[in-house]
Amino acid sequence: MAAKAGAAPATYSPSPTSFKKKRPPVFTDVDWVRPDGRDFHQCRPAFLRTGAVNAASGSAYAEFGSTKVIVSIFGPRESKKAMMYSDIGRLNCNVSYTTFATPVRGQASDNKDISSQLHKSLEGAIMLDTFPKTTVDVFALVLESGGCDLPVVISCASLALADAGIMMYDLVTAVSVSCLGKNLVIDPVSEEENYQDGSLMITCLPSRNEVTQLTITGEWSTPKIHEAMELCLDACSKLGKIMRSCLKESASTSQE
Amino acid sequence: MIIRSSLIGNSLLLETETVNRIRSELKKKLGLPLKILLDFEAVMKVESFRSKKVGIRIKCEKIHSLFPKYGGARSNSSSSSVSATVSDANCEGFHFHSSETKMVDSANGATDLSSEMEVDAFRRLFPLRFHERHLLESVRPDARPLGKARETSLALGAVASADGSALAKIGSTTMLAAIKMEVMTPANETPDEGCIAIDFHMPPICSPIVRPGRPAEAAPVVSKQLADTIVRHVFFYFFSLYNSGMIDLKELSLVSGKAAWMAYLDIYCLDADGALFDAALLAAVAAFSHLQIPVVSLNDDGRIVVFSKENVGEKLKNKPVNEEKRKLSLRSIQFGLTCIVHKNYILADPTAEEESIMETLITIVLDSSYQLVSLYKPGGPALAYESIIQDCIALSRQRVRELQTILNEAICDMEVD
Repeated sequence: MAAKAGAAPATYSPSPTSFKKKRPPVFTDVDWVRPDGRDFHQCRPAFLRTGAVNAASGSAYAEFGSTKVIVSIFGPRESKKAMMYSDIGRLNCNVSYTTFATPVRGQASDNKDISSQLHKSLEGAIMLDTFPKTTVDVFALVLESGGCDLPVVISCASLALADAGIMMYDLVTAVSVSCLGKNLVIDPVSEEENYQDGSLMITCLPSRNEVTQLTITGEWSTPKIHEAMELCLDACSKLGKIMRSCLKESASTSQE
Repeated sequence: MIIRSSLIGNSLLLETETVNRIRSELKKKLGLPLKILLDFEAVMKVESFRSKKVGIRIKCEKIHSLFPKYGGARSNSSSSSVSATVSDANCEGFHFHSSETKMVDSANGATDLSSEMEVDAFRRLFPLRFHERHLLESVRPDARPLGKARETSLALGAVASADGSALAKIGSTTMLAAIKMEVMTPANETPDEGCIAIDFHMPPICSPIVRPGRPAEAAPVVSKQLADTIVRHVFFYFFSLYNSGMIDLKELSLVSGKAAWMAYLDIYCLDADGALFDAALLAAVAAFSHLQIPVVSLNDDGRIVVFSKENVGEKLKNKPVNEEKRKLSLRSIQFGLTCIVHKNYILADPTAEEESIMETLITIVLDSSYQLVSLYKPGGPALAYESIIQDCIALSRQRVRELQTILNEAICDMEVD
């Protein structure tokens, strides 16, 4: 690299990268098969593990289809010097992408936006008054982005927080639904997200039945919203159970 | 009669909690309660006769010291004296045999958990002494012998969206390397050579030291070391640029003067626990051996596009450019080993804790035929003698053998799948 990096020749990827402006006709039909062959209301299989990073006080790895995420928790540790005194703890969230996360190298979306959404969805679930004057850092790295990145990051982050022993009212689970023509598809992959008419994401505390964040973008009708919310809440409670069993499993193995 | 005496003053660092408690007690009317514990050991020696050690312990309790109320600056001056009430103080002295007390101590230690806590506290308060004590026994805190590297594992093809990738784990240090191939126009001086761009990242997830927006100092250093090792340029005396790296850049050429491959190698540190360079190099080497170059063809606009079978029928003239060059031949495979040099000890494959305490590192890179590729000794308080360097090289020879089998196994596993 040394001698030639300075020149940094412009490069391009040989694979067809630009998504076609017109969406393929399959998505407008009523009957079509999803790219990975799932039912419309079927989520991708979730793989969750805690304790992925030893250097952190808590961490988790989540894999939903081809979306792969690692979240590390540091702290509670001293807040930055510039911070004002605060009776309650602070939450600091940051999401970053690897350069190979997206099909085109280094084309990750705006991280600031995702970081602040992650912060907002976790904030309500954490007992911030249990660690006054200090900061808990939630850092996420998206290893591969295969659609639904933000919900996966949020669920994985709450699992990592639990692994770090940060007090929470409940685990936070997040699921999103895409509206494609007349259909609602849950847990969409990148391809579906690119052609969606609208999306809805709920983050909730499944056992308390409380919603910390609800984001709706695009074109929706009221009955559709109701239907989508029910789909999401149902999926959230199922995801909550999976996360709980993952925590139990890791706790029982660490005791042995 | 001669009285010899020696005093040992042990200064102790206080935890913030303790300091805060003392601070609040200073303000109390009664003053700060003090407890004085003095341990003496006395030996009598008359010519050749020597008595047993006699331990004397003096314990004084219920002393209340009043501190003057003015500001901190004055109380520092040596002339001001501090009064203490000793009205209800009581002192007692008793003697003991030092050997006995030691036994009592160790007996206590075995039964309750407090000794466990103390080891942990000792490790944090006196890290160097803690480690040196281990070194004396030729063992390391994680129960490894000095010259042994941690358990290493390798998985190829971890990233589906990349052309070549690998996940390497040495102990808990984890590296994820991925290669993406892109097309570039080669430079005028080297029309038939491709290029390799190496970047080493330490995202904030990997270590408590790294924070977003404040990149780790180690990252660019490791990045440069990797680039130097994998793509080395050696100037020969007749001005020809001779490349002696792991990869022949000529293999990356597609159409001479028109198009060549640019291999972007990105290595992410997912968990930093020492020996970052070794793990990064292992991941990089493994990613290169996993690399599958896509078959491409030249289209009508002079751009290189991925060759797909669907197009074969319609455009026969667009033949694939690189059908026979799907894999890079690695000229030599390189492996690295980092050692810590501390006094006379050599510790192979250090953890992050060891690296932070004993700062002299030597990194040795050998190729698969045990030829020395590079040797880094970036300063450090300890000086390395020739013999130490040779010992390090001997250790890395062993390590290369280990890593080679691990890499071969990983490649075999992948081919079976």
